Amino acid sequence: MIYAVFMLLVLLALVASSRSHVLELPLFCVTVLWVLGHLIADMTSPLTLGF
Amino acid sequence: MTRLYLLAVTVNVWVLVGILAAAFAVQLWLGEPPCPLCVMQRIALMLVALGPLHILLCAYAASLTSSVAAVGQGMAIIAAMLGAVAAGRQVLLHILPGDSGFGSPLFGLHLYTWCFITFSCQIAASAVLLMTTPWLEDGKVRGPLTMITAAAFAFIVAANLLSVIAEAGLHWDLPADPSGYLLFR
Repeated sequence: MIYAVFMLLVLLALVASSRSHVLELPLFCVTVLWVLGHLIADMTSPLTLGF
Repeated sequence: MTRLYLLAVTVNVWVLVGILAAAFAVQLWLGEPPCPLCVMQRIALMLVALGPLHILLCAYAASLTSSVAAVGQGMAIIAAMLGAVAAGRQVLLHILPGDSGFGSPLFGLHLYTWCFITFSCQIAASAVLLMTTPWLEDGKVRGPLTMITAAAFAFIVAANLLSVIAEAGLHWDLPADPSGYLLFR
């Protein structure tokens, strides 16, 4: 479900972009940072990652 | 120059949509559900596309300025760096001799290797487009097919969203080595 949430955030950022909404960049930044955090958590845990 | 720039940005989005569609086709036709790292790379591709789409949609709604172009290309570069980390991570996981890799190769390379190449090329392309911003003339110039491009992108993201829900079922994370769609089990 977490990946669905990421994609939902991407869609929300697209909608914000299409309406020139002020939340577009914050949504983009939150998504990037959350994905990066998830990736780092995955890389620093012992072999729990998917391959 | 501005029209050429918007054409290049439109092509950029369509290339990314094409890659996402190709990955989706491989998933459906070859029956290979994507692993968590593969999904991360798809999400990074979507985040990359938000950059050029920001430029197209701003040009459509108001006007294309150098600052709009800089923000959009910056978004694409940051997201491409994130994707390159995810793809590089997966390449390194399978770098040992004797490892056959994850999934079927395409033209001799696995999809995550193609993804790494794509993200590297995207960074270079965005940097080149960023260098052309001083020659952009401010004005209301709409890019070709802006709304169709945005709709195609929204469609492929929504399709991936439904696919990943079907794959994960009611679980928070995906299985490390997925073999099917948990929602239908």
